[in-house]
Amino acid sequence: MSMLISRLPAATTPLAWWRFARAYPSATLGLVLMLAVVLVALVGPLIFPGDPWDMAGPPMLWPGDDPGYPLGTDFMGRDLATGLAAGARVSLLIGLVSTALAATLGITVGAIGGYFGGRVDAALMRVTEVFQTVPKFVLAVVLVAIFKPSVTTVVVAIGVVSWPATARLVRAEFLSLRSREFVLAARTVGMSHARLILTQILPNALPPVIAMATLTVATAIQTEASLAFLGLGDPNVMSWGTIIGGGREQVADAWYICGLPGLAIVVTVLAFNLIGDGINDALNPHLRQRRH
Amino acid sequence: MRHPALAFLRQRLLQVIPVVLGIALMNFVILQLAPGDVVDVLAGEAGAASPETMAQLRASFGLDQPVWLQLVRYLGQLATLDLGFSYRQNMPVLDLILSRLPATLLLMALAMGIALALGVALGVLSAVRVHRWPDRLVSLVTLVAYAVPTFWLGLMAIVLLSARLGWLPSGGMVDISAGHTGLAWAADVARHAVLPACTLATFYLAVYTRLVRTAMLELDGADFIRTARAKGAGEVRVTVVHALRNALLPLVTMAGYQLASLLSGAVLVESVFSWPGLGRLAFESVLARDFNLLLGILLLSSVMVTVVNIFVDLLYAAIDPRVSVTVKGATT
Amino acid sequence: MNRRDFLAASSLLSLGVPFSADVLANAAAAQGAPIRGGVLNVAVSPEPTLLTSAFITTMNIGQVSSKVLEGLVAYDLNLRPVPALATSWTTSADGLTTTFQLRKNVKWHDGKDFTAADVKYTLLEVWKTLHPFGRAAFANVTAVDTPDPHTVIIRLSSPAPYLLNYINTYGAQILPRHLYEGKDVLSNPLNNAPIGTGPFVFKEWVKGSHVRLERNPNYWQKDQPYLDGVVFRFIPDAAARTVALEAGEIDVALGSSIPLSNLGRFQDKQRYRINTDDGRYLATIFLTQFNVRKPYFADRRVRQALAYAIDRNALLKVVFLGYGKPATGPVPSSVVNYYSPDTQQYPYDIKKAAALLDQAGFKPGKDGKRLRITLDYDGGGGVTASRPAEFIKQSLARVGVDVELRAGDTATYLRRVFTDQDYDLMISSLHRLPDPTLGVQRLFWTKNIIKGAPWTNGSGYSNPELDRIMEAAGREANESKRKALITQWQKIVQDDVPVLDLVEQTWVTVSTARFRKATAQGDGLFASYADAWLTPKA
Repeated sequence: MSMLISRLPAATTPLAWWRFARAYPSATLGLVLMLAVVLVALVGPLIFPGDPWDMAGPPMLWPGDDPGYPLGTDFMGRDLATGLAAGARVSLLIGLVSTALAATLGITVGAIGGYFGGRVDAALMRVTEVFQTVPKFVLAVVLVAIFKPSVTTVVVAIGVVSWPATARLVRAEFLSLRSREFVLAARTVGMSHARLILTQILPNALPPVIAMATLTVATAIQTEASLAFLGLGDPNVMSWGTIIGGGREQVADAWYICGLPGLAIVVTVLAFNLIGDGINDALNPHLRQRRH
Repeated sequence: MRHPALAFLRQRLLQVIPVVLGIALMNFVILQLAPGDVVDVLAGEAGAASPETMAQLRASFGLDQPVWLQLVRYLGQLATLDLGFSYRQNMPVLDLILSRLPATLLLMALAMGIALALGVALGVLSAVRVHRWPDRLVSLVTLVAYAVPTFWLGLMAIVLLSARLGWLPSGGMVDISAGHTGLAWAADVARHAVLPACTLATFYLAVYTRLVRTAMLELDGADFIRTARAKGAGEVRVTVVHALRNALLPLVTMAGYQLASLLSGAVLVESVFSWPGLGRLAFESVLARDFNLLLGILLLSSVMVTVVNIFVDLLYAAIDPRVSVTVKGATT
Repeated sequence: MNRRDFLAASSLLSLGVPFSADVLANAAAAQGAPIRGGVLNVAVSPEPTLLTSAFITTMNIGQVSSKVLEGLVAYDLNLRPVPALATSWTTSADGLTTTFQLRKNVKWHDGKDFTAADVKYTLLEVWKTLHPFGRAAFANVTAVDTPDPHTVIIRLSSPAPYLLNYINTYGAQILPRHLYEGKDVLSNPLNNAPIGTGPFVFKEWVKGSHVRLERNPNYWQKDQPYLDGVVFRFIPDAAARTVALEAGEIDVALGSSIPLSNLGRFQDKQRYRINTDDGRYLATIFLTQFNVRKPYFADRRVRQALAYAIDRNALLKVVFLGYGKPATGPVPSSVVNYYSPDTQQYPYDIKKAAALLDQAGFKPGKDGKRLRITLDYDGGGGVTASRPAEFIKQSLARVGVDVELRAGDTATYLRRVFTDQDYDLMISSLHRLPDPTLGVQRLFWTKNIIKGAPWTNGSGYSNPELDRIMEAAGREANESKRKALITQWQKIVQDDVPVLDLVEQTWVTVSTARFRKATAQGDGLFASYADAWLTPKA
């Protein structure tokens, strides 16, 4: 983490930011895009107020046909602009919360396994393997379809299928870190396991986990959209995937109903991918030098 | 003295067992927690049913017995490779899976093949022309391809290439009424497979392109082409091949490990393109509470994944002399 | 939009006016002369799980099995029986005996003769014991006599006026006795590879893909069938079915398998036909059901308030795109013989709804909400299953009722409503069938409140007076007396509204204009296609 921070410009003058942008063009693009999406999520519902579920207008209006409905309407006459703005909030929230859940689970399992090793590790590895071998999306579908499709179920399902990758990463980090000197020193001093893990090892293991977390958010948003597309989203909440799913039948003529939210997903996922890559690049400076 | 690879193989194969058990257990836990069962679905579809008939059905399916007994019975059946009976589809699960497996395997193989072939090609191109416009273009395409949701890409592909332009069929695996046989049939299947395979391949194509590019550049840095050219024309080819070889190992490893996610992707692609494969069957089996079928599919896929993982590990050890396959070290 | 033309043409019956013989004859003449040859590609969705309807009422199974297996009659556009395997029938004056004369020289696909023994076997061992509605329809049957191989005499303990309305291939499909007797009917492998008497012979079923049928050269109607074969394609994705029909990959899409929103693409009468009569027989109504066990729904005023709050016309327009008719009660208007419009109606009136809720003690709270309830629907019906639910949620929000939607897949939904009985509102589409005793009584009968059994009286409504009337109507042989009883029945239901009957749904069949059929049927979804043909491509 400290390595990344040291690279940030000391002063936040426009020139300093410009230098940052030139040094890390793709990460900057990622940040810009993400800011745009967050802006839409926060401000969008103010610009396009109202209930996105309201069947306010004439159905199947094309974008640009009617200034009152700038992005058109769907099959039931719902305004797409309002829907996209509301959907931004939902998709982002679900993506972030499920990733937080996955990260927590993954860090817990990985830390315990990597730190203690031996049979505890072997057992936890078996559990991790089970979750990694089962096709993730199928498991997510099973969990959501069986329990009532709702925001909670979706978040839990995505969290449950996404944690193994983080667990493996954290475990690898812990395995390499636990034999380091500072850990041995802390043990000698008599620090408890818990304190050691939480205050000493974990902060050092965190950077790649954060990079992975941004990538997990991207995947989580895609998974949520896929679930909603299959009809397994929360029916009370409108996400981008819900809009695509609802417009699936009209894809032959009113393809913009599927097209616009799909583009929104692409942009958001792209943003998180770029940021995650940026963090990874910053953490592996020797690779960067090689490339230049 | 026993060859270490054989011992490794035996240990890895033994490790399949707890995984299989874990999946079976997970399936049963979910089965118990799920509201409603296959008899509810059957009765609902039939239009009506009396509680007596439903109880009768449950008894004949063995659903009224205690959970642990059902689990034990199922595991016993598994040992004899009997995957049970699908009450919804009225067929033994194994037959059902085998009838749909080739379609999914074809889809996955084609998708993986396209992704690998194109991935290597594009990766080499960007590495050789690093920082120039081919590299930038490929990077841009890769980034977008990585971000596009698979099902959405499939839908847009149908709109453009099928509905608007009419170049390719919109779904299914063959044109049934045409009744092709032999080579014509193969060509028909190929025609139907283009869109779904390409859609499924897109994401992996992005991954592999980046991987090849990174691995090739990792060795000698961006100047490796210039250095090779300076040494002479023949050197370029040798250097590229050498750099590519560095990329092949992680590429194959990654491809192997992504097998499980290919099946996940197949669920969506098969759904959008009406491809008669296992992915779609898995989805339907969840909705129908057909747990024998679902478990059969999950087990099959996990066995497949584990076998491929073992194979990749062995391949890794065989190719790269630095890696030794020992019983202990190979578990990470 | 030319939808109006179609609706107008096919809605004569819904105005209570039967189709005249002239109209029917003219329509038939416009088809042209039959042409031999060609394979018909039909889209059915979802893929059936079995290929016989003898003990199961799922629509898609009926659509496929009806080409291979037949029933005693079929039903014309006026829902009157037309001979199929039975050539004539009579009912005795006391209503206790019905005699069928069976067609001669009919053979099963394996060469054996079709006889009265097949009918007797299937009636007693399958329809009466296993079929969900057959159990009710044939409950009064005490004996079946077969004095000769082509006569069936059904003896009843009390009159069963609804019987003749339920004997087509969908309600009473005849199975070959020599292949089913003595074995367990439900697990007979023939259920997946049927042997029947129909115009088409089963050839193969590739699960996940298609069912292939071939022409029966020994069909009892000489010269028929005209087609060489029928292939049923199972295309799970709705948009893909539309594309397939446009591309000519399929010729017919049955039972609203083309989404209503895509019907605009098929308005060119030179190339396509849109048929809204095929599902007449089913007389399906989309409904919202109250769980009257809940204290707030035990009060009739609350139920009536919600009835006033839902705009049926808007629902029809927005969700069903105009395909259908607003429902006025539990008996659909297409069931001309028993339908009565003289019942309490609930035209859209927000003020009245609010007033009723106030009276019942549900005044708006600080947040403007009077009541918080849930609405359950079957999410397993695909992505569009939520649309009517969303509409109702919006409608009720306007009158201060907050609705939380609960999607579950089919199993969860059925459990919640019929076993746990823990819900507030639920929505579904139910076939009312041509006879109220068969299709409507089950919703309101006290004896049909059965915990754990789906599609029974899920609301918990129990009215002894109504029970008495419904049971009497089920026994009444005199037509006019029966009609009076059923009118009473509708009045009571509409006063109490334990169920809100909202829209009479139309099943839409879209086909290429090349697809022709000599006669139009009211149960066209289950037509045998013996008299169907394809004109050659231009």
